[in-house]
Amino acid sequence: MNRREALTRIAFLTGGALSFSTVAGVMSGCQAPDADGWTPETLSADAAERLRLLADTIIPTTDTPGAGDVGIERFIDQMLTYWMVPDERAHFVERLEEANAMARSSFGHGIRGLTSEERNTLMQQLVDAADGASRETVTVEMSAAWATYSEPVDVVDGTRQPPQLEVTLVPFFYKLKELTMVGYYTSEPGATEELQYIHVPGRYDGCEPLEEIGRTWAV
Amino acid sequence: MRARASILNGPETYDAIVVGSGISGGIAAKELTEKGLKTLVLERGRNVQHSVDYVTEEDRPWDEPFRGQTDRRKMQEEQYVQSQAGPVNESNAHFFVNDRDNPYTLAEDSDFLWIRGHQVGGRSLTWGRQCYRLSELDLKAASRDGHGIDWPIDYDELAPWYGYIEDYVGISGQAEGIPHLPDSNFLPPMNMNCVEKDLRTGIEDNFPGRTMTIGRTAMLTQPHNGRGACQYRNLCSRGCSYGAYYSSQVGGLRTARQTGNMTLRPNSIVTEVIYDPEMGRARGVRVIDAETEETVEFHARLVFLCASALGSTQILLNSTSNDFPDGLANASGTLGHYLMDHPFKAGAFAEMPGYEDQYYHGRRANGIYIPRFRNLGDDQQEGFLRGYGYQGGASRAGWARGIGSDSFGVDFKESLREPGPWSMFLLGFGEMLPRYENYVELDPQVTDKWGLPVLRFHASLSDNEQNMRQDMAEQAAEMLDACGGTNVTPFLDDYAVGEGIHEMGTARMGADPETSVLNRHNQAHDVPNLFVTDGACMPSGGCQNPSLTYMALTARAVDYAVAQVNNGAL
Repeated sequence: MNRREALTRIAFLTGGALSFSTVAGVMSGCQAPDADGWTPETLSADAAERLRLLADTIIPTTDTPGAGDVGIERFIDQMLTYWMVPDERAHFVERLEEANAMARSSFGHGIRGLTSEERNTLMQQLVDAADGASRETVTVEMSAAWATYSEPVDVVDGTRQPPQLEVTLVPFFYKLKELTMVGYYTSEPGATEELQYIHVPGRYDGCEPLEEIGRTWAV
Repeated sequence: MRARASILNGPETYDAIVVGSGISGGIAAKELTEKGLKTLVLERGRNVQHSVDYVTEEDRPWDEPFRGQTDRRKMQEEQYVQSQAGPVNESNAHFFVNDRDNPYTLAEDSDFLWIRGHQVGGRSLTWGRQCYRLSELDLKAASRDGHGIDWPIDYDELAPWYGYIEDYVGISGQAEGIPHLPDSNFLPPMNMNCVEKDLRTGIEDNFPGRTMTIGRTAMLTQPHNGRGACQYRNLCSRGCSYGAYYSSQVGGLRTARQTGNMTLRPNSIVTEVIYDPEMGRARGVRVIDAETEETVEFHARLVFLCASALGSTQILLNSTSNDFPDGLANASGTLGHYLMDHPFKAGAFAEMPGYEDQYYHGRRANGIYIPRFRNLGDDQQEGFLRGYGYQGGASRAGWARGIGSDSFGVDFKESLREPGPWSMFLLGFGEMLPRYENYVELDPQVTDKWGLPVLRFHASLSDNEQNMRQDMAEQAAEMLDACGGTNVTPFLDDYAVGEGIHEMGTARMGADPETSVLNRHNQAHDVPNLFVTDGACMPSGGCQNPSLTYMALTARAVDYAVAQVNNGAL
């Protein structure tokens, strides 16, 4: 039982009157890949394709679409560009490069050249690396947090100030997995084909046989 | 920017002015207009039309750029206070204020989260919808334990007004016959899921005198007063075109509009109540028009402040005159004092083994409620006065349970197609003692963009609240443990006063004009045609969600005020 998940689920009871950090990151638009015209803003095109392949290794295509089929690289690129602070962004982009270097040293190819079996082996290497890795928490000053995007926040002296933003730089596998899962399960294919989602349920029944309902609710 | 100096007179005189259009102002507007009074409703924020302006209502998860969480950068830049409280998310952030435009200050060693919604409907668009009556135990708590003052009203006087409001608003819930949590006039209850049903039995078996009921909520389980039943979308705070939860849009303002007696004026920031020293009465209010930046005066026989507890008090503090140098209706010196909230963020959660073949259909935006059991009957706590109730609920883990694990690949994907274990969550909401030391004043230095002094907060918890929160966590864990929970985890998280978004007090009612601002009819002791019927009036807060009480008090106060007008006293 994940504590943050519990807090999230209870939030509605209080009119949401709970303060909790984002349960799984905040996702930006994860659209079906129509390829034409899209270029990543933070990643190189090459890195975006590597990222797509890694995400698809976490959630592969089966009888339903996988993470690589739902435009996950767009979504993660947007997160990198518009949601993460510079430290987080740099951390992720560097680790993605390192994963490519790991692939080269293990298999003689970069990620784009790997078979799906080799990608699975690489992913296990990333898990093993993550298990022992440290987690670093960095505190971001408000004035610095978004300095690359806009003017520093101008808050009247003496008034209640914005809180400091605390950002934990987690090992690459866990960040990659979190971004992949949130992007995938809130995408239309992830929510409606792999799991199920009804926008207007129309009724609440608290006790129904699972076999009649079928799969996990996406929301 | 400072408002232009020119003062325009409003086009006509009204019978009544209502300041604020949220949960209290909506009911004031309805009651006044239904009694035939030409009523001007002033709202400082923009207009929000029912359905038309619920711009995110139809968004699917994949439609939202940030997938239902907040836009972190925007929150840090514009809503760095609002986003500290739970209700603010990507799909409803437009119903909460911009913190850069709405600053406030803190005294040393104080913290306060002031969460506001400046728009027509106010926070009735985004509220938690939980509705519980106060009881005689709550209203006369001071007599029982010696802290604070009693309410100048008995439960028996309030009960018919609760019933009147409940019949109008529509409250779903289960009658339980609990003396200290009186039943409302209920619509059919929402149902509990299987884990919750068994937990209710478990608590009753293991903890005599405690019970657990379904949440009592202003959400319709059947069509009511022209509004539609709940569709179990759990998207309430985006606005609900079905009108299934109560808001001013589908309630008080709509009814008031139908009478033809209401003039609703958005973008109207009331800066002060104008006092007529010869008459000893309020003449009307002064307004900054947020669009034209002009100052306008409006006059009326009755003035109802329903601008939220702190909004109304800020207006009174800013309404100074020779007769009232420290704020209008403040002869007692208590205006601004006895600020309260409902401390929470303490409780426990646990896994509830079993029930693997059971699931639920629909998203019930409601949970369970465990009424107060502390300092009742034989229970006498050493560490704290008063008590608390729990909200909570049971659910099954979804796909997010996979985030922290080392697994990946086909089998991992497959495993998340089935829901995970059941868990149960209990979250306490406690009564905060009214203390003189917790107060707001006008900041002597800092002004807002309109040149108006901002509020400065003196707010902290006493040992009573700290000890109570500790007990919330311990008792929640004990109950879950005794009822079959595993991995029982109590929690006691940081909480800032205000975070419950139940600001109460600062212009309290009382029998004694020396120690209170309002009398038993929510009428200012010092200014007979001035009424304050929002959370500011609360002499003590109970531990129950307060909006239902504001609505009942508002209807009762209007009934009294109009009777006074009709008999010539006002």
